[in-house]
Amino acid sequence: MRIGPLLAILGAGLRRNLAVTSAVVITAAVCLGMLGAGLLLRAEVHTIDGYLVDQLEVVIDLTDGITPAQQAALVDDLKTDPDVLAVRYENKQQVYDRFRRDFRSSPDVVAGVGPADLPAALRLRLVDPRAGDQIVLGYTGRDGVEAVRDQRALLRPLYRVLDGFSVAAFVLAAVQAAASGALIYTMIRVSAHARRRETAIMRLVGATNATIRAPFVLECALSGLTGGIVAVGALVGLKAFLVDGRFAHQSTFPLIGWDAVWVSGGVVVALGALAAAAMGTLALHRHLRA
Amino acid sequence: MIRLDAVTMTYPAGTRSALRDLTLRIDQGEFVYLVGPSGSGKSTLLRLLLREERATSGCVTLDGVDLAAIPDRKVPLLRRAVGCVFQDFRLLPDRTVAGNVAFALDVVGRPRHVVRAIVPEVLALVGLEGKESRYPDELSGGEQQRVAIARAFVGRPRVLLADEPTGNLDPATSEGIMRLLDAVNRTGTTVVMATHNASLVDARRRRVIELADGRCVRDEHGGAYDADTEQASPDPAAVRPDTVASDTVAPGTVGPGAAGSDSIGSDMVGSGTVGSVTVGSDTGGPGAAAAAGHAGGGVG
Repeated sequence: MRIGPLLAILGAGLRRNLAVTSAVVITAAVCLGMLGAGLLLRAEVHTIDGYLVDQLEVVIDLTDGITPAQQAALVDDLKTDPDVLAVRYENKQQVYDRFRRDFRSSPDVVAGVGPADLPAALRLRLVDPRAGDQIVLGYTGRDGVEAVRDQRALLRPLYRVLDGFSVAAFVLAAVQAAASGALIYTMIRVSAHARRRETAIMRLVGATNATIRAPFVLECALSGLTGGIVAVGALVGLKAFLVDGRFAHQSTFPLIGWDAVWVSGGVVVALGALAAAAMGTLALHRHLRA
Repeated sequence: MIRLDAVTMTYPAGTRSALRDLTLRIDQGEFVYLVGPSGSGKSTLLRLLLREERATSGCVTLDGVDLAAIPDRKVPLLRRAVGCVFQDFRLLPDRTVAGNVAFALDVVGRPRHVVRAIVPEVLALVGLEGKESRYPDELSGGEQQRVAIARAFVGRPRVLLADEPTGNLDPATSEGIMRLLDAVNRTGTTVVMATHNASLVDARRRRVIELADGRCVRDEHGGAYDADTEQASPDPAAVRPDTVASDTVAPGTVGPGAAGSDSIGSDMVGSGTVGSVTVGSDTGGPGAAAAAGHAGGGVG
């Protein structure tokens, strides 16, 4: 079918089903907005991880009784370990100085601790900073080793919180997706019934199945697309007024950039149109005779 | 052209067969009345020819092609060769007269310039010139049926199936519709018309196929509606189209409303032009008087 008549049929269908189509657009927008928010939270986790990963080290605390031979053997093993990029030794005084620097805002804590209370340590930079678990497993319990600490593990609670929010957003998106699917199914049923004479005539005069179904599928895709665009608008608002507005002055962690918004937005719009079209096609098999 | 060989059709939920061991042949260009009581199988036969249904057994062929063997994706191509007209017109109420006719071309992807050229010519052909912008509810029943015929004929099908096309019309209007179907037939299009209208069948002695209980109980050339009606001489207009070539005006040579002619030009779709138009309008539009004079029938 030519594009002109196809758009005319599509326009007539949209006008006829304006109420149901609007409902589909709204639920799709909420669904896709939640999905986009979840994607942005995931992007924030990656942003934080990417920012901190080069600054995080694995620290091997040494026992006070470690012999020079044990320490030399341990350092040799670490330097030949393919996962380890660099090894740096810190004596008790250097560890104490770092401790005082890190807790400078808590003088009471610093006051009760002296250089002798803290262990000397080996600080490791890894080839893959995310592979700290292997080092922890490999060197824990060695002679002269008191503990092996992956500093990245300290961020896990933060990651868990952000992951929790993103999972919650995805669950809400899934619930809304179910509602959107049900609405699209209803929209197709109503639309197929309202246009049964038109489709019967199309079939009689020799229109192909693809031609007969195209306006319905396009109607669904357009609803999903519109919902996606509304959702992208909400994400842009979130970025402009919340991330770049309210949270703009915090400097603890970097926040998501516009690139993450556009990537999430693209996913949301494409998924909205495709999923709606797929749901419409599914419903057509049930409600429109081939 | 159309062949049915030992065709039996039983609907899935049916307890008896709608058609039973039906064998018949309809040649290209014939005008055939299908008669018989309700439930005798007339509509089922038309549905088989449209491939709306498949025969339970036996073979239905159109131009040598077994309709049951056509894959579903190619059925639309078959339906472009078979036009269809119904008792209830089945027009789209939200489209104008021209829009309803153009719809049949639009949905099969005909180019816009072809649609724009053909639709006015076909509307003139069926006597609806000047009513292109009317909506169906602004037309009489006869005019609506003319739109339906225009829509069925605009793609130049090889076969036109008419399922009681005069069932909702008064006698005078029915006569006008019959003249239109005659004109369509004279272009070489085979017309198969299911009807209960005895007077129309009797007025034009054509081939009559009578069905009863799914069987063919009579197949009579120049027949009447009832088998026991006295045989009369066939209507001159009922002569097969290949014998009336001199009556047929070449495409594009005569304009709408040409007096004395009662034919439709050929190759309309291919050339984008339509020949003479003299079939009467139900409201006395262009060509009505000429058509009435030629056919000797009243115009509603």
